[in-house]
Amino acid sequence: MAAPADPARLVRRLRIALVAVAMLLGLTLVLVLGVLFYWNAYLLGDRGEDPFTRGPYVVGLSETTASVRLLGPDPARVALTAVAPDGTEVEASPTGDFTGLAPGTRYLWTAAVDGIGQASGSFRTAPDDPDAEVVFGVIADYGSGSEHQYAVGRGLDAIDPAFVLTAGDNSYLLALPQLLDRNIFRPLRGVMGEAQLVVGLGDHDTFATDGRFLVEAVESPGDGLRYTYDYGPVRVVVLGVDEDPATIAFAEAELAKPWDGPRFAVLHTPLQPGDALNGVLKGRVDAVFSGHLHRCERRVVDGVLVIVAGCGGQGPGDEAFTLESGDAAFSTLDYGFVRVTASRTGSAIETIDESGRVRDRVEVPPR
Amino acid sequence: MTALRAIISLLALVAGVAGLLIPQPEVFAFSSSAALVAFVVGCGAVAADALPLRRVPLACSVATLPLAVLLFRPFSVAPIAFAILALQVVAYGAARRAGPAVAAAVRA
Repeated sequence: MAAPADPARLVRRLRIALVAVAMLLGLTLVLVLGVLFYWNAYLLGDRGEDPFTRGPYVVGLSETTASVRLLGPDPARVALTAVAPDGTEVEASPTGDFTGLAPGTRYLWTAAVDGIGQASGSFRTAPDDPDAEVVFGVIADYGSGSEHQYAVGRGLDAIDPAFVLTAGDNSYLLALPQLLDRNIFRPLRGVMGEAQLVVGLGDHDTFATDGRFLVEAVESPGDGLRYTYDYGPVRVVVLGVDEDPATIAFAEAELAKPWDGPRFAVLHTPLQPGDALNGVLKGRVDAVFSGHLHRCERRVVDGVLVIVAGCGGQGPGDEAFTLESGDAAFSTLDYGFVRVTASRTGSAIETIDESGRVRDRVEVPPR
Repeated sequence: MTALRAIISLLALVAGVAGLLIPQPEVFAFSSSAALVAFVVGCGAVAADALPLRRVPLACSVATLPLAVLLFRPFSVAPIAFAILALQVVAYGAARRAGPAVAAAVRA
C-alpha cells in the first residue's frame, strides 16, 4: 500500500488506526472480564457443598420410631422431616428421633440446613405383620475405603434393604474414630441413609479399642459385642467375635426364647466342625453369618448353614492364606455382599458380586 | 475525536433518561448495554486524546472508563450516566479550546 503524500493525512490515518486498536483492546477486555465473571460466578460458584461430615444415617428403626444421626452443622440449624406416602409429616426431635410413625411404611426424610434441603433419603419402619417379607443385606470384612467397598455399598443400596447386617471387621486396621468415616460412613453413605447398619464386631474392630468408638457411632445396644436385634418378624442374634464360654452362654439364653419368625445369628469367625456352638445353633437359627475369611462362602457345618460374607471390600491379602474351605458348597474371592429375603414361609439367601450378578442362591425352609 | 465523544454522550443520555424513567432491575437492559459500548468507545477516546496529548480531554476520557464499569449495574444509573455526560461536555469544550494548537502539532 502506497503511503499518502500528505504527512498530515498519514498521521490522521494512523491516529484513527490507534483509536480502532484501542477500542478493540477495550472490547477484548470486556470479553475476557465477562468470561472470568461467568466462570467465577456460575461455574466455580457455590453449588451447595455438603454441610455434613457424617451422614445423615439411620441408627434405629422400629415399628413406630426411627432415629437418624448426622455430624457437621450446628444441630440448631438442622431440621429433619419425614413424610409418609399419604403426606403425613413428622418432625424429628432435636436429636434426630422420629416417633409416632406407622408400621411397615416407607418414609421420605429430608435434612434441611438453614431451610435448604441438603440431604434426603428414605427408611421403612418395621412391619407389624408377622407374615411380612423382609429383605436385608449382609457384609463383612469390608471397612477399607477401597473402590470395591464403594461398589459393594452401591449394590447394597440398590437392593433397598430394611437393614444391613455386618459380621465384623468393619474398619481396617483398627476401629479408631479417625478411620470410621473413611472406612464406613463414606463408602456406605447411600445405604446408611436408608437402612440401619446392625453391626457385629470383628477382631480388627475390638483390637485395642473394644470397638467402643464404632459402637457409639452406630448406637449398638450395650457394649455392642452381643445383643439381639429385631426387625418385624426377623430376629438377629449377634454373638460376637468368636466362640468362647460367654458366646455360648449368650446364644443359649437368647435362642431359648421362643421366636416364630426367621432367626439368624452373627459370629465373626466362621463355625468349624466340632465347635461347641454348633449344637446350640442347630435347628434354632436359619443361618449363621460370618466373616474373617475374606471370601464369600456357603457351607453346612454340623447341620448349621454358615454363610461367609467376608468379601465386602478389604479383599484377600494373600490368596495362599485365603483358601476355600474344604466343605464349601460355594466359595469365591470376588467382592460382593449377601441379600437375604426372609419370611415365616422360608428365606432365600443370595450372594451378589460387586457387578450385580447373583453368584449363589440357597433356599432355606422355615425352621 | 468528536464522533467518539458524541457516541458516549448519546449513550449516557439514553442511560440517564432510562435510569430516571425505568425502575430497577428492568433498567439494567439499558444501563448494561450503554455501559458496554461506552467502555469500548471510551478506550478509543483515551487513545485519541493521548495522541496528540490533550490533558483535560484525556483525563475526562480516562475517568469515563470506571464510570462505564459502574454503569454496568442496575443501581444509581442516572447519576452515573449524567456524570459521564458531563465529562464529555467538559472534554469537548477543552478539546475545542486546544483545537488550533493540536492541529498545528499534527501538521508539524
